[in-house]
Amino acid sequence: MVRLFLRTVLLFITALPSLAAAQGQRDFHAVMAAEWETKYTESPGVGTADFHLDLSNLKFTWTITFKDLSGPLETLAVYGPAQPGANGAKFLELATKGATSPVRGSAAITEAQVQYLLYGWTYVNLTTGKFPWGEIRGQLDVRPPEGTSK
Amino acid sequence: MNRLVLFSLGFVTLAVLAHPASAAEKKSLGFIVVDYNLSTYETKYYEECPEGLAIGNDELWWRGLSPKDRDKLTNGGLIEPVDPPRRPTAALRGPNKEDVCWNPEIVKDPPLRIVKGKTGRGMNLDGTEDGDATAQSCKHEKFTSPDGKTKVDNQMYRILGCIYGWRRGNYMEAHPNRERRDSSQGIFLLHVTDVDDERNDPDVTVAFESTTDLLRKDPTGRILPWASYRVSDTPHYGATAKGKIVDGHLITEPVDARLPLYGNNVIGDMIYKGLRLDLDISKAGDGEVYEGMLAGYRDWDNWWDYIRKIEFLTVTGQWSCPAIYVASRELADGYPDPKTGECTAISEAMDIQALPAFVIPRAVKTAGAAP
Repeated sequence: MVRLFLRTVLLFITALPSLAAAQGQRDFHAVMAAEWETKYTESPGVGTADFHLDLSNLKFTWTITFKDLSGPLETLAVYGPAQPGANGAKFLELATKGATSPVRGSAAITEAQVQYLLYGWTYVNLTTGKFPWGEIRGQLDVRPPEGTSK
Repeated sequence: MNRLVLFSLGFVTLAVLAHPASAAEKKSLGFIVVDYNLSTYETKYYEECPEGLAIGNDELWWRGLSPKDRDKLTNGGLIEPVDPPRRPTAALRGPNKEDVCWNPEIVKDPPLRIVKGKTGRGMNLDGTEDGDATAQSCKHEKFTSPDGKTKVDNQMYRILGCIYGWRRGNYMEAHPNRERRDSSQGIFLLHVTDVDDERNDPDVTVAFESTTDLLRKDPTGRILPWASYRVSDTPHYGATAKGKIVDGHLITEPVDARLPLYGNNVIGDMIYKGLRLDLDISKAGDGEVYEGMLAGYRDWDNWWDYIRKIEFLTVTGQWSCPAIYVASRELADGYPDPKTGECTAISEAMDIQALPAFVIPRAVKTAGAAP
């Protein structure tokens, strides 16, 4: 009986940090393609963008994949505020020129940028020499935590 | 001794007869309500909206175009969602360019992103423990308020709480509050009568009135407390509820009521069933503002009429008529239609700010009153 009680207490104590952590994080995702560029763009290029945001320190971590581009990557960045079909300002560089897939990195972002992310007003845009305005683009959307019914 | 008592009683009786009002005089209280907002529970990082905020009409319109048309109709994104002709065009996304706010069933949008959290503010309107269906309500989920009050009904918050424009301080409600302050339209009065004791009184009467008088303001634009307002002659206002005052809280029993609506360029009424008030009249904040809550079942047809009329705000507010239409039909929780069983009203709670005022009843003619 005592052992059961202690086990329950231990379980509760160990669960607390993970519960708090789950509440203090957000994931964002985008599917990138030429069709989501505001300017008509013909490219077979595709990509995915996955971001993880730790709300305790606003650390933003990303993994971007892409393929079938017309040439080497020129720029890869997050832009906002802008809804789909509109153009925002570049606020976070994700890779250096010539980077290859997958691109990984992290940076601290601001509270205002977090709000733009949560509003759905940010996108990832990848430019190449042939498409200086952007070859593939994707609007970032909140990825619901597991167990949340969509 | 007995003679002394009889003499005293007689003296008191005579005094009361001579001044009938002094012993049994009832007081009246008045308040004017200009600002009100949907009662919500909002966290900094939107924990209550795990799916994110609602998708707006413009995004749905733009995504529905071919890539060439996306470029052409927005000039490569240079025509912003709020700009003409993009904004009015985006509403016409029915298969034959129908307006989707006035024909919300003509397209099928992704489901509205709604509040999924368990925390919400409001009142227990259906009287149930768990939101199970009753003769007066449809099955729904209840909220628990941040201060621990359980069994809270506020489906309007569930519907609107994850829409950017309805978040506290954003355009959908902040703008109508400003419009009412600027225009003096759409404001309403609370006229409390039969008051014996402003702290505790088991039996008072509260009328929900309208006025067409202009708000009295100081040179800075601040609305002045203790101004006088005449009750409007419009007959469909003036619903009267029995109420009580408990430790300085003015609380009413449910009453069916109309309140004037003015905001976002719409003039009309807000029609409620089972409307009830909880106003803390024991303490006022800055500018003598008293805080309280109005809660009741908003008639769905009446509410939807407002929503479709403000379609020009789907960009500013980031919402879509068809999605909100479907969600509101599904989440309506009050007054089932006897034939279909579908609920015809939505539970709602509003935070109100009330200023003390002198309410001049209809029967009283003042020197300055219009003929």
